[in-house]
This record gives sequence, structure tokens and C-alpha cells, in this order.
Amino acid sequence: MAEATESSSSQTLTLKRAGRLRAERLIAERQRLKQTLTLKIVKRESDESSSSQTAEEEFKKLNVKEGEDSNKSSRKDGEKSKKLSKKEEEEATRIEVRTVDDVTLVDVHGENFSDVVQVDSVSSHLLGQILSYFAEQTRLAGEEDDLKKYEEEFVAALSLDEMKEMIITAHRLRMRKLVLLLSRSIANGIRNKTVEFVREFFGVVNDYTPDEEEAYRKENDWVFENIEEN
Amino acid sequence: MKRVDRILNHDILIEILSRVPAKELMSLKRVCKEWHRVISSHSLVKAQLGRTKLVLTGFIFQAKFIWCNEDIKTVNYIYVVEETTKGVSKVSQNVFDFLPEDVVVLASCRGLVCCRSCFPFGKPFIYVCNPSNREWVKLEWPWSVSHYDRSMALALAFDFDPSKGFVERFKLVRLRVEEVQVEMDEEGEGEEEEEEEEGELCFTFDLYSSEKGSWRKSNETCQSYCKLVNNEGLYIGGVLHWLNGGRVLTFDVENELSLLIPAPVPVSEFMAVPEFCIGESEGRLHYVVVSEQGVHVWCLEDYYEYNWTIVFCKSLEEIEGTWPQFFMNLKNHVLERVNGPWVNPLAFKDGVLLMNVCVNLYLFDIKNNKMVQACTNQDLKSQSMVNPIVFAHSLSLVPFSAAEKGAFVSHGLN
Repeated sequence: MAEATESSSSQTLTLKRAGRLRAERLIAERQRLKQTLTLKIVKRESDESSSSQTAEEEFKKLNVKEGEDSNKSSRKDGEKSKKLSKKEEEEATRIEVRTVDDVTLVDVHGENFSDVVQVDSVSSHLLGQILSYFAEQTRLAGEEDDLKKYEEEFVAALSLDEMKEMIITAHRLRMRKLVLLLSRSIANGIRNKTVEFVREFFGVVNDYTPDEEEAYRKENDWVFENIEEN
Repeated sequence: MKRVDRILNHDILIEILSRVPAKELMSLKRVCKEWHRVISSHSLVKAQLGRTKLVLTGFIFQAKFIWCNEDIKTVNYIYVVEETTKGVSKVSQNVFDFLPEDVVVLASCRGLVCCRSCFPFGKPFIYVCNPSNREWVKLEWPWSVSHYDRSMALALAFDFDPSKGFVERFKLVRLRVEEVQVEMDEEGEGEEEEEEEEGELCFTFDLYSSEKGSWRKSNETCQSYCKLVNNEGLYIGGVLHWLNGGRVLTFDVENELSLLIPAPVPVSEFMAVPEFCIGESEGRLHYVVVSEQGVHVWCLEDYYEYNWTIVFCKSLEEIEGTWPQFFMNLKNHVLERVNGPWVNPLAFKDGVLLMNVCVNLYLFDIKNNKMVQACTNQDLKSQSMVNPIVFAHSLSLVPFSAAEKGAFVSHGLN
């Protein structure tokens, strides 16, 4: 284990010095370690305590490793570490147990880690937002107007990109209500945007030839208004 | 801006796209081929129909000769910009180019448009199409070609079922004025001012059901006092409506019942001949009257009680005062009526009135009190501005199902 830690921390150096094979092996190991950071989603019926403990233990183990690595890895600027370094500057959060629909989020009591709790590569900030959404949901359950008002304020405070990040996570965590709310908001958000903006936003590559695109545009010219650049 | 490394899940994409209105989805088809495929797919259309409301997209305008039998081929689409403050809308003439021949538009209902071949024709057909996806169905012309009656009115009745997600069935109703033999009580009273037989002028209805793929005559008739029928049948709440003189002729398609509803205000109340049109707003029939007293909009509350409620009224002076850049001396012009009406309401939908004032067309949003110039008469490239046919159109993505009885489906290049 210690070896792994050391090797991964000197990853950048390895990349330069050692052969490509060795570097790849180290990265793969790092990925494997990262995989066990995934938040466990457990069904309501199953034994909460035991499963939460397992996850907790794993988290603890990993967080220890992460803690050691963080200082060194934060200095990395290699492309391969992009996924990791993006998060590594953020702080760990406490995730409390919530019972939402059929999903029980597992309790992770983080100690004071200076780096991120990676939950499927979700930023802790985002997770915090999601959790506060659910906190409000349970608090205001039954009061339709207040709930609606909260939802409106909630989405108004989010940027389009934030909504996009959130919907992916919400979908993965099977949070139906949040997905519906976000899809409505994103649909509204992309309404008056150019096609180019939409492509970039969704990370889609245009596979139409300019001719094809022009032909389609001409045919449907009667319905395309001058959409503002945004 | 952070770039998302993950590709958005297909499910999430459907969730988002199914909440985008039809108009925007059409331009989103250009994003990439995959998106085009997804947006055209029945599953997305089904979801989208259930989750979004139809919004007024534009007005179809086609001029008509009054005396000449020939049809004017140009069909204009006056695109309505959603936020009327943005001003300029657009007029296009190529909307129905995907059809195999020039057509005359007969009806518009929930995105579908019904048209017929232009006269003079060799072999005429009826088309029911959706300009958004360029799909159409062609129907045989069931009536005699030699005795073609130009004043025939044909309306489209189409309800879509979001759970089906495609055009499953629609109905066409042909309206004619015919002399119907009526059994009269032989009391000898002078009903014989009519020329010859004891026939009464009545409206008759022929129905086409796409399900059955055939036409049949309805037993229902309705007495006609005026032959003039504006061929702009509106389908609202299961009932077709036509303007008949000042009255409104209604026909309940399912139950085959007709009613002739009197105008909200009798014509005699006005000094100058008023102009009117009917339209749908908030799922109800509205009646627009333009006279020297101003623009008045009525809403039909009750069909059987002939209960009209006024929902909007603005005098010509007020209109002139609010928009002096567009109008001047309205009242006098309306009273004088030199070469036809000065202000002519053409169509009304969802609170937006398309009206012709002198040489321009304006979109009057009565709910938000906004007036925009839509275009000039010249933009319409039409040879006649008298008595055009105008339909409101709301874009919908409904595709035709592959199997339609008695007709064949054709898809344009896409």
C-alpha cells in the first residue's frame, strides 16, 4: 500500500522518467483506488447499518490515502489528472443520512480532509445543493405553494452548467423529482440559444456537412427566427 | 466554462428535449444527426405532445379571387415572433413546397393543415399534411370535378392523443348549402315566396373519417339564411365553427349536431358595415368585431343560450392614441369605407389578432396591449387583398402513422 501511495504521488515524475507501460500501470492502480470511492446506494429494505458501515470503512481507508496524496497531487498539472485535480481543491463535506424515495444515502462522517469526497466525481458543492434541496422537500412536504416557491428560487440560483451537472448526478441517484425540475429548467434555458451554443453545452459534435445543414435550414426557413447569440 | 467530460445520458436528453416547444425543437434538429433522429422519433414526439402546450406559431394567408374561378397559388406564412416586442415577423412563401403540387389551404388544426389542389385541375386531390416534418397524406377527391363548387367549405377536425404520438385519425367535414326538400305543412301560408320547389336552403355536412377511409353524408342539416360561408372552419372543443354572414354555424363532429348562433351584436347596430372574424383563445370561441366603435372581442360562454361575453373593447381613438406611429384618422376611414374595409380583422388566436389596416398587416396582442407591424400587403405577393383565407397555425410535431386507411403517407426528403 505504501508503495502504491508513493508511486502514485510521484506520478508526474514517473511519466517523464519511466517507460510508458509503467506509467499506465500506476495510473490504472490509481483509478482502481478511485473506484472504491463510489457512494453506495442502498435500498431501503436492506440492512442499513451494516452496509453503511462497510462504505464508511472504505471511505475512511481511502480518505486516508487521499489525504496523504493531496499535497503532492495538487501540484500536478498533467492531463491525466484532470478528473482528480478538478476536485482536489475542494473541501470534504459531511453527508448525512437521508431517506429519499427509495434511496438511502450512506452516512459518511468525514474527518477534516483537505480534499474532496469524490462521489462519482461529483463536487461536494453540488452534493450539498442536492441535499439542501431534499432537506427543504421534506421540510415543506405538503405545503404546495411554499414548495413551488422554493423550487423556483432553487433553479433561479443555478447556472445552466450547474443544472447540467446536477441533473446527471440526480439521474444517477434516481432522484425523479429533481430530474423533472431540472429538465424543465434546462429546457427553458436552451430555448432561445443558437444551435452552436447547444452543441457546445451538450458536448455534441456536429456531423452534418455544411451543405446538408444549409439545405435543412432553407427548407425550414419559415420557422427559424433570428435567435440571439448567447 | 468547465467542459463536461461525460456525455449526457440518453434518458436525460429525452427528459429535457420533451419539454422544449415544437418550434425550438425544429431548429435543434440541426445539432447533429443523432439529435435529428431522436427528435423525429415517435417516442420523443409522444412525450413532447404530452408535456408541452401548442403555441401560436404563425398565420397562413392565401388570397382569393372573388369573381375569377382560378386559384391564387401563393401561400404565405406570417411567422409570429413570440415576444411581440421584438417587432419584425417574417413572411415566407415556401412552407408548402414539399407537397407535389400547388395547393389552396382549406383548414388548419393543431399543427396539421388540410389543402386541396388548385383549380383549374385535372385530377384533384385533398392533402392533409404537417409542415413541420413535411409529411402528408393524399386523399382522392370524392366529388364531381365538372360541377366544382368553389364556395364549398372543408374543415379539419383533429384531436391528438399524446399517448399515441402520431396522427391516428382525423375527420374532414364538407359544408355545403343545398336545397333540401322539406316536408312543409300544407297550411297554404305564403311560404311560397321562394321561387320554385318547397325546398329550403340548408347546410349539409359530409364527413370523412380517416379511420374508415370513406365519406358519408350526415343526416344533420341546418337551415341557412345566408349562403356566404367563410371557409375557415375552426375546430374547438370537438365542435367546428364557421362564420356565416354574421352568425356562427357550429357542428359537433362526434354527435353530428349543428347550431346556428347569432352574432353578439346585430349588424344593424353599426353605422358602417362592421368586419368580423372568429378565433380560438383559451379553448373557447371568440368573435372579433371591428367597427367605427372600435375593436370588440366577445367570447362564447354558452352554446345553447347564445351567451356572449365581451372580453375586450378598445375604441379606434384609443388605438390611434396608443400607436400614432401606425394609425391615423382611423374612425373616419372606417366610416367612409371607400375601397373595402379600412380595418379588416383577418384571424384571431390566443389573444393575438391579425388585422389588415390600409396597406399593412398588424399583430395586435390584446392581452398585453401590444401592437406590431407584421408586414405590408406587398410582402404577401398576392394579387388580391379582398377576402383572403387566413388561418392561425400552431406548430406541432405530430407525424402520420405508417398505416392510414384509404390514403398513402409520403415523407419529404429530410
